[in-house]
Amino acid sequence: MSSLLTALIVDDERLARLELRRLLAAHPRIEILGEAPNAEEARAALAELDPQLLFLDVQMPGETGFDLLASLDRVPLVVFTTAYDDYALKAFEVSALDYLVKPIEPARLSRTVERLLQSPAADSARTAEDEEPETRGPPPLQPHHRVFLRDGDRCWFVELRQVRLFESADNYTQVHLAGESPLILRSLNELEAKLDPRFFFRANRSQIMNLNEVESIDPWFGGRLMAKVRGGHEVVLSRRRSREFRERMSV
Amino acid sequence: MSLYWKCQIGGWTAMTLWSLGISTALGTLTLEGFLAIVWVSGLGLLGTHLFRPIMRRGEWTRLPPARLIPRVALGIFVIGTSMGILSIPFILPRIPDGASPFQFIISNTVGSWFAILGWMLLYFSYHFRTQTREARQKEWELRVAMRENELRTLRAQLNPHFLFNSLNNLRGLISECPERAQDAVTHLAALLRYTLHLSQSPTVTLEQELDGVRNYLALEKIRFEERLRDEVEVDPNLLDQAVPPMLLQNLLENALKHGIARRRDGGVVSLRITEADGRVMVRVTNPGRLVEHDGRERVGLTNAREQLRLLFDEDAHLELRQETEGTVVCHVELPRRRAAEVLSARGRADEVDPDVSVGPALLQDSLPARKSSRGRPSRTLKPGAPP
Repeated sequence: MSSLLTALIVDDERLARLELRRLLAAHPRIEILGEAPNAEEARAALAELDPQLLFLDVQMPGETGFDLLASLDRVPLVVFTTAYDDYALKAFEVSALDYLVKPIEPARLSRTVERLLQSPAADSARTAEDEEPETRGPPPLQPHHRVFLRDGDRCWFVELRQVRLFESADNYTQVHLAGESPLILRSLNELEAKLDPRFFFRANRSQIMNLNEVESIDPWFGGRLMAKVRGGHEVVLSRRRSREFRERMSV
Repeated sequence: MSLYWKCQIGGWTAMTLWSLGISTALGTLTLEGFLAIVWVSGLGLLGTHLFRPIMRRGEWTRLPPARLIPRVALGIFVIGTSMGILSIPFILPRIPDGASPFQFIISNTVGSWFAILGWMLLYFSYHFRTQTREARQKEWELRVAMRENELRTLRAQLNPHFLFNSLNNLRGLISECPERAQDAVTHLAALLRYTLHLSQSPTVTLEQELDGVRNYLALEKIRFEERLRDEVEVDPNLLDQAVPPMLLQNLLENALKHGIARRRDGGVVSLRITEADGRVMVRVTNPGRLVEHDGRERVGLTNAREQLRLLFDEDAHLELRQETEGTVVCHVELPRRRAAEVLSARGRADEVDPDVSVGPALLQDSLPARKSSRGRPSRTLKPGAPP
């Protein structure tokens, strides 16, 4: 298997970046595309280089590592690097979280790299590149794309396919996952513009549903449709969206 | 059945059997005699049992001997005499003709006194033993709590985030520039030694604290590189001034955390110590804006204030303010006191009242640390002296 992961190192300390680069030299399957000393430059580097993996220092001047992630539409694989068992990392709900404590143990790094190279996210990130249609602007978000959700002090890394339903709540959007529903600071319209409509269907003014999570569709009053989304959500499609849905399904 | 009842019944039964044994041996045991013995033992049990609530309510087990002994003696007299009097009806029929009944009544009463004395001895020795054990347990728990407090203080002062960041940078520096890496190890070792040895003593000299600060800044410069520029200016006449250990380092840490670490281009952190009107003025400045509701900023400064209060009572002040647009200053004012004087005054105070430190805040300068600190500063107080 000749898989390769492209990576970006983000850390405000030059020596820390140097040291990580040196350690990663032992892992030829990790290709370092660049470095950034702060969130702003990291954002530019991410847009330009589109790495599959991010080594990210949590504490940086200005925006923190979390701020950076929260500002991105989609996130690559992330390995946090931190000097001390950071309380911030305890915010994570997902146990499948990678982090390395500095000074980084080479053996621990090897295990992390091994796991990353085998992760399905690494594979799908590569193959999906080819499928994406030629469009102007950033490509729409696919179900396999990873997003970073932050609600107050709690954080989640999820693939979009894990999201069952987006529900509007003023300027916020409630993201319904299996079991939990964080509230994120994004409007539903913003999200709709970024999501791939083939997978995420705008059902009405306040809801976007994941079509793969729809369990059943039934006729509803006034020629509308009612979709049952996994997790017990009942979504009534608006008249216009019901018509569009029928057309789409009959094609 | 409770231990109390086991002892009561067991004890009085033994007493009864013993008396019966003697009577049998003397060949004087009759039915009346048997009943008398059982009656007396029963009275003993009843009397002590009725007396027990009085002892418990008065917390007799906590009384000093001078107050306990008269009370117990009175108790023995009252119970024993009551037993003596109440058993008269059983004694009278047994008195041989012609003998004086008083002699019998009195000897019976004296016997009762001894029985109750024995009871009291057992009762109090049991309670005293339990109490000693509890006291020892409590003392041990207090000791553990003190140790834990010391450890917590030490861990806070070692600042793990700083320590691990420094070690990580060192690892990078080893391949980049071995000479600087060697220097950094020396700085780190000196800083750790300072933290471990002196951070728990009540006071250090300004000179000692400045050494610590220089090592600290040298390490932070490796981390922040050109982002950190420092200016340290200290009146050399003040080197023997008493300061709480880690005070300046805490202030600088605070300045770096808010003035340098959060700013991409960093800036200048300055430390100036001067004397004015017999007072020592410490000024630490850092670039940035004062955030009013930053709870975490307060923690470092609250500690510093507490340290100042412990050393100088209300005679020292600490103030943080926005000096100009973009500069935050931390201003500390101390009374001019030489560390040696403070320490010797403290030493005397400790000898007068060694139990003075009881509050949690004072646990920091608990006895072992104080002992080591007392000798130390005098050695470094003569920096100018030729070797």
